[in-house]
Amino acid sequence: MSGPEEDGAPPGERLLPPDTTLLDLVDNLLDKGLLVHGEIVLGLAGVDLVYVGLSAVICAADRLRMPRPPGPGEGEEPSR
Amino acid sequence: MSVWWALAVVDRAAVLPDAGPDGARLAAAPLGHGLPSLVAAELPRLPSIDLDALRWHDAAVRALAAPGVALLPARFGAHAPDLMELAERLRGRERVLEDALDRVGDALQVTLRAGSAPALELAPDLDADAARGPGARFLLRRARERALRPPGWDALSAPLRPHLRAERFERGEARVESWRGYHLVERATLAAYRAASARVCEAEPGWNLSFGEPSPPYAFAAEIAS
Repeated sequence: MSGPEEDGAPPGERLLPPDTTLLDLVDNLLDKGLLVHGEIVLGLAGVDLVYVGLSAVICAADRLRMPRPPGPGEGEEPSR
Repeated sequence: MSVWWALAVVDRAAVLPDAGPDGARLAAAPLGHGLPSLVAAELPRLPSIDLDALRWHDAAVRALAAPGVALLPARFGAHAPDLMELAERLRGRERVLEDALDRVGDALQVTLRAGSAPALELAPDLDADAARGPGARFLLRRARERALRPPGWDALSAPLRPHLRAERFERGEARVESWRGYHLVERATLAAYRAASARVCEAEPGWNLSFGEPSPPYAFAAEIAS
């Protein structure tokens, strides 16, 4: 398979991946694209994972950090 | 045991590269005589599901998306021990896939994101809707949600219109963006679209609009009902 330098295609006519952001990668690959029946379960380290669960974890890992309940003295107006 | 990993559905005229990234063997399974083909890569084993696997899939689909190829990227993860078994899962959707390929041929997707723009607008319910049953009202509302648009978008996006084949919007991830949109852009006018998108960004600096790099039309393949 030839690259853009070899085939002489002008910039923009071939789709090269280096500028793909993680955000677009996850959005496109896990949330878009043609559904082919049977992709529901993926294996990871020998364990089947539900696809939707996997994409949710990848897409929103930051949400897994539950808000920490305020400790003593936190979240209150300082006493005067 | 090797697995076949679905990459895309391509039109009948597509010529495949010999191999995918990392030398993976590629093969196409026609969905019927004169019909589109499912392209898949043979992998020695099911890949670990991580960022590298996502990047590999993206690179493999991009390599297929040469000029002149109409292509519908497959969502990440579809696989089977046998290529024909994978293709069999698309039976019954051949004509829909052909129509979709006609729509995306010689076009690329550009994702635009609005960092801090006003929320998308939902078309108001029509008076006539109230007389319909709950099922019909649900379907009508869902149809209107597919037509969500930023306020004032028609005027703002006028410079982009000549280059667009299709457009859709979604509400964004609140921590990242107000909303995101997907443009299906004519490949031949991508440079002009780029120039026009810069003018749109300048016209509404407060929206923090950003236009991404072109990609295969993932968002427009997702419209096809499974």
